[in-house]
Amino acid sequence: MVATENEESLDQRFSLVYEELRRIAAGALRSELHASLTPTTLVHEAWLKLARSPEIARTSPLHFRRIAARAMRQVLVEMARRRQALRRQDGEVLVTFDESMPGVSMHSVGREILALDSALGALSRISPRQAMLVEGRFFGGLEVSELATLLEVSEATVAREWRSARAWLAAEIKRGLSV
Amino acid sequence: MRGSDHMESRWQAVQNIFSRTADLPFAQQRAAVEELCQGDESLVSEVLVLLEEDRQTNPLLDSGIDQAARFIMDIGRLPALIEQQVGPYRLLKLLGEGGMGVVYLAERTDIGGLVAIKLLRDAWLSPMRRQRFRVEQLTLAQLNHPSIARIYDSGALEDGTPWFVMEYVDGLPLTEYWKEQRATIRECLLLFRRVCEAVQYAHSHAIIHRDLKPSNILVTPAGEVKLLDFGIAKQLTSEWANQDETVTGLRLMTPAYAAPEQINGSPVGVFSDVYALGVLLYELLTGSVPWMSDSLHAAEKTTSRRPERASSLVRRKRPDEAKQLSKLEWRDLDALSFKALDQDVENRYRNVDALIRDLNALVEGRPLEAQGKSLSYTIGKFTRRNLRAILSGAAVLLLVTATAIFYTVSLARARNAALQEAERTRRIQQFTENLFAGGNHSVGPAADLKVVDLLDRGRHEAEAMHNDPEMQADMQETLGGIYEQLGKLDLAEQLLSAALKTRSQMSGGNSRKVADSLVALGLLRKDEGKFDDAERIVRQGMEMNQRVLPRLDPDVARSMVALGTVWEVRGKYDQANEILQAALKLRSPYDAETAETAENLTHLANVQFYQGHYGVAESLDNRALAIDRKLFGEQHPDVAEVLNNLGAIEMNRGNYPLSEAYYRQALAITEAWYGTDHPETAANLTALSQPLSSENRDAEAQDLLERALTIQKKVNGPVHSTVATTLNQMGLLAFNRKQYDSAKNYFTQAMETWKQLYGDQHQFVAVAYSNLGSICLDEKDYACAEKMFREAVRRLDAASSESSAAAIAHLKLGRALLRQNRFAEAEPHTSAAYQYLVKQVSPTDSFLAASRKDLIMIYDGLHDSENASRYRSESTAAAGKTLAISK
Repeated sequence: MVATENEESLDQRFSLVYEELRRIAAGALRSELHASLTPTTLVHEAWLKLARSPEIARTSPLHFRRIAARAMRQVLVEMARRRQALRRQDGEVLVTFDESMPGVSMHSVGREILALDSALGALSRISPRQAMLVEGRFFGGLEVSELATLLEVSEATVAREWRSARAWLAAEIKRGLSV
Repeated sequence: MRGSDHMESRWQAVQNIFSRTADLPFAQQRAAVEELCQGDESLVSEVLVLLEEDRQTNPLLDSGIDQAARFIMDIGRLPALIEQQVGPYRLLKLLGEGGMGVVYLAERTDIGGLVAIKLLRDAWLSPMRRQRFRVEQLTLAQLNHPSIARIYDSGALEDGTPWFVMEYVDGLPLTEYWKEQRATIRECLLLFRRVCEAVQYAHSHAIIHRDLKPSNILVTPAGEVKLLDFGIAKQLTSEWANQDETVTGLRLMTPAYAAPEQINGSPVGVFSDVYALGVLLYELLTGSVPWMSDSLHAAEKTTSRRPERASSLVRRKRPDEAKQLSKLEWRDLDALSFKALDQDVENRYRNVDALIRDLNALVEGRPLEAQGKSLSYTIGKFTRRNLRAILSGAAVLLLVTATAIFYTVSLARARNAALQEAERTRRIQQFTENLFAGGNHSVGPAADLKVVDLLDRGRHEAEAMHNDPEMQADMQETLGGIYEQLGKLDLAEQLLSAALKTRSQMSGGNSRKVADSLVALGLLRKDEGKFDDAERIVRQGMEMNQRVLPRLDPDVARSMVALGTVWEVRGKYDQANEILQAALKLRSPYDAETAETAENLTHLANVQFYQGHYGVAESLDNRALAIDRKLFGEQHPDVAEVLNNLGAIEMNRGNYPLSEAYYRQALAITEAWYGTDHPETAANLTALSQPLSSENRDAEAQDLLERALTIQKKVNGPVHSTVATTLNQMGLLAFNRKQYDSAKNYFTQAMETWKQLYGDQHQFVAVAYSNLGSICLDEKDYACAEKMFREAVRRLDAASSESSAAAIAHLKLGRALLRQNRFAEAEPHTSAAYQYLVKQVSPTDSFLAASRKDLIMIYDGLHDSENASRYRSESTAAAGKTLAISK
């Protein structure tokens, strides 16, 4: 991993980004921007907002996105948990999107994200670098070349490690969902 | 720790073996794994599991987060609370929704009277939100001023949702109130002063509002000003001073009114409210906010460009009103408003008091504090964020039917896709609104001209965006796509090439954006008829996408579809088919009913159609139609396009009345959408003429075609595919009326046009030859006919293994040879035609009948009585059916 950051400043930045993402999400969900709200736009908004703040000012966009990837993961996991809770609480799920999409239900996506989250946790105990890779790629939308730069490995390594991590996670998620 | 070391090395081993076996053919994998694992059974099964997952797609991991998150981020609404009881209050109706809470009108059930109840929605989402809500509540409780909405009560619902009760203000937002009043400027200033005084009162209680905007400032019918929504107010005392330095919330601030330091996260003070007041004043005077951007990008507001002076804006828009103040008074007012709006805190009015003082001075005709400093503002260019590149999936569909009739759909779908894509993002929506003033329906002939003007403006804006190359490239890509749809290919070329160059430089050559640009440029080449280039460049883009993106990312499929359309237009139907099918398989479950899937289906349907697989084409088209109807409703050009395709299918099957019905349906939609003088309408008119002509309603058909030709020549110029199509169609009509010279003339013109457009070997040139050959046949000049049909057959066979046009050409070549009694030479051609037709068309189809007749004569001539009688009896059977049907 990139050893030049110190833990404390990383935590600080993480909290900042995390709070920002939640704020944006909370606010944006009700506005007319809702339809185009995606994690990518969220992170972009957060960057524009935070880029000048003192904590983030010396962080490169690439590193920011890595932090944002982790923060986004947490935000989404929270939302997924909340949705699961809502379900169980009310029986009736108060959701608004089109339920007629074949093969995918809103319930399953939430559960899959939670399963992915815990699978990633397991992966990070075996191979921290790959977990970071997956997090950056999946939650942060980072491309292969960017990941190579961040992790200081070759693009071929990134591609290879993604492929095996992906397979492992897919298996792990299935295991997680079947309990 | 030893445990995790062990796990790590185990994982390395698993990965190592996986990597070495993953690319082997499936059949060989197991053996290879077992060999490498050297007897460790558990290792073998671990690797095999991985290999299995590697083979399959995983909807979640392969789609990327944006698609999956769509489902998670949609969170339930508050249950309807109307008629509910909250404490002693009964909720009557919803007054409004803000970034943080909902406001209801309520009445107090015990003592009566109307109040406003504000509830915090989604309290669980963030402790910050709850805190902010409480802040507002506490803030309001401290303030007791006639111009500030009073707070009465507070509490929480059963599920913890906090609420508080405020004075109900029945009034209009400040700017709206003023619009209605339209009294003198002087009175405007007095009204504004009342607002300032309310804000000043709050300041004197160490409370900064921080979110002043028209909707937070209501004016009652009596003219009383009331401030609301101290939702993000901050108290200046030390209790709060260290908390939430950067609590601003992206959407809770209204960008136009937010001071630069609020956006920057710099310290906020009373001067920030001054800024908002400055914006309000400007808006009251001129009717618009000083900078049109609603972007929060602070940098934009600090680079050069001042807002237009209020005075000059008013003089332009409302000259009569401008006369109310003298030149000197305007100068003072401009100075005042600019000083309130100053980007630099140092130069701004230090507090509202100072602003009020100057206001008074202005009203009383005294000199202002504001004057004496030069006005130098640096206001940024407004840039547009999140403009996504629009891929121009230009679809030029040419349907070659059995009777060589053409229908051209020119670029409609891609343009509509471009507009929709643009509308999806709110920022782009504003951009688009500027461009296509009037919304997405303004794509008619007159609007097209306006569009071009507005696009030019956009183009110049893009040129100036040196500070933000990514944005610049995005915008150029967008504009390039739109220019392409409008047929301005040279401008499109300029823009798309520029975008590609910039993006390649920025990313080092390999990225999603570069791929997008390549595909767009490739499709442009297709429009220009440069098919080799088109294929090469689109393929480049597609391969790049496949390398850098997750498997199920929509852009991968999109670029595959693009390549498919290039092949489609080249007549490489087998390849097109394959790749379009593959693209369809890549649609993730999240993607099943999007416009892109509909487009994919439509293209695939067309290819199937060209190959003569009418049943398949029909069902694909119906699927596309269902999606389009669901997405867009009935009156949409995409729906019309598919209806036209269905019409073409029926046309080929010989079901003329049904074909006519489809085409008429489509024409109604097209005319309504585009107007009567539009190329789209022209194309549809041409299409409709076909079944009419087949039903011998020649006069009607001719009329339609002439209308179409006029439009097309006018709009597209004399050398254009649409013109050629129509000329060909008119040739067919003349041919049916046996006006052979006229027909020859039309067909030749059509051929020349196609040669110019697509080159000598293109299959449309073949069709033109075929048509000329038909004339020769009718005139009994069989040598000429043979010559023409050989030309046709040569070109058509080269294009595809199976197509209806080729079949017809073979049939006619066979006939030409037959008429010269060259039976042996004729047989292979006629037989081939028969083989094809018998599989594809209805048994009573006239071409099929003709092929049988010809075969009978051929076999008779070859003294092959067995075959001759076989076809005779088939013929009789079919004729019986025909009689039965026509009764």
